[in-house]
Amino acid sequence: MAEVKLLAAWPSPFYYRVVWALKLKGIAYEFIEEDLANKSPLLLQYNPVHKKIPVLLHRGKPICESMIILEYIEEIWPQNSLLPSYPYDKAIARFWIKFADEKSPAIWMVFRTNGEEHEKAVKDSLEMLKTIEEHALGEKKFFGGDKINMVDIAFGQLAYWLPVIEDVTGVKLLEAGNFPRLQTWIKNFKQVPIIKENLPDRDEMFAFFKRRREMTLASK
Amino acid sequence: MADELVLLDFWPSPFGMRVRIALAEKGIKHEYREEDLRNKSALLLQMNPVHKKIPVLIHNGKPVCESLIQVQYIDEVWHDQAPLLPSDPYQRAIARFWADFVDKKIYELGRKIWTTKGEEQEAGKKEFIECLKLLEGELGDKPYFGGENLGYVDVVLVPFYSWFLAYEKCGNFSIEAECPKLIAWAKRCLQKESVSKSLPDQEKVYGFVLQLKKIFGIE
Repeated sequence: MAEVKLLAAWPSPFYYRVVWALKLKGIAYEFIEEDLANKSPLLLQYNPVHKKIPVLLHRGKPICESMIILEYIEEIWPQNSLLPSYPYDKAIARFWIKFADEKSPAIWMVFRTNGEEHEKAVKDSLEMLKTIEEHALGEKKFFGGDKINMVDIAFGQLAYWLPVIEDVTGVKLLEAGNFPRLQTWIKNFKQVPIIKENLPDRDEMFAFFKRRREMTLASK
Repeated sequence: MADELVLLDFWPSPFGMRVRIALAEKGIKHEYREEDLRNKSALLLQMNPVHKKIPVLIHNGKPVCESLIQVQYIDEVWHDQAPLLPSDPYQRAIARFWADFVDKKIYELGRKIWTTKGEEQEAGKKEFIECLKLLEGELGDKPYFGGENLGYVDVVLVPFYSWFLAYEKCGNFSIEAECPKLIAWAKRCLQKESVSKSLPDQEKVYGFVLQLKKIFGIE
């Protein structure tokens, strides 16, 4: 029986956050695919509060919420550290992780809406990207410095899912603003071997999200 | 060299209260500075340029923002006194989960209760009580969420108790009638000086909410 199991669904960016963390630390795990349109009794048992993926099962005990899962993984398997050890630097890392979680939903609102809601989502997304460009990266290659860390993982959606959203909606957020640091980070992030080897297929993602957007807009 | 700590805060903020409690639990000397949120100080804007919000904890000139992050930072730096997070990683993940739950639900739902009316308010009240009941379930028979002593989740949640009277008056309902265990827990927390000195009086918060309603034209 696998010691570590991951209940998740393709192509959720939150699922990939956990995959990247586990792979960076060399932890073997069993992937249990969830059908989000038909949630399993297992998922409802292990995440009764939110009923969402990903859920990490370690020795049968569930941990929910992707960034909480990542902090847990970091504590149990400290090799190839994903957080600074010095408390102040850790606090700064956690600040940007929280920022990523709080503000990234705007790009999904761009994807999910049209009309006024869509315009607001575009504005919010641009503001978020501007803040990251001006305040978060500095002159470093990655948020983690020379190597990626939990902050890079938290912003991973922007490197790979956002470009797909841009293609599906036709809204070019990254080009619209002036984000040279962010654009460079995206390029470098996707080149990191563990990331490169663990990304969903671009064409499949595009087709999946294109269908989803059509269905969402049709139901409005 | 002595540690220099400044807390930029605003008296009715439940987020600020979390930090006050954590500092008090560990007996950490600090300077409290009240911010006027309609006229934010240059220091606040400099120390929290991204969000421009309180609380901001300035430790030897370096700012830490976001209350959950501040409480964890305080717990890590002053780890010898009154630990707030459990030592076991799994228990820590559980504590973080419930703190995150409080952050995602309680503030927004509470806000819905005092800023809306009719159907929207009713929906807010219903979900608010459901969330409190889930928290009661997590508390179980323990005196505190942290077990025998005040812990991370207690510090994160108890500040909202100072807003309960405001929610009840604006929403015309009784939280104690629905969640007696949670009220008993809150009163137990208030017996601790760190909590009682950090939370404003419920009547004072209610007065503040009434003022806000007037300013924003909310009935």
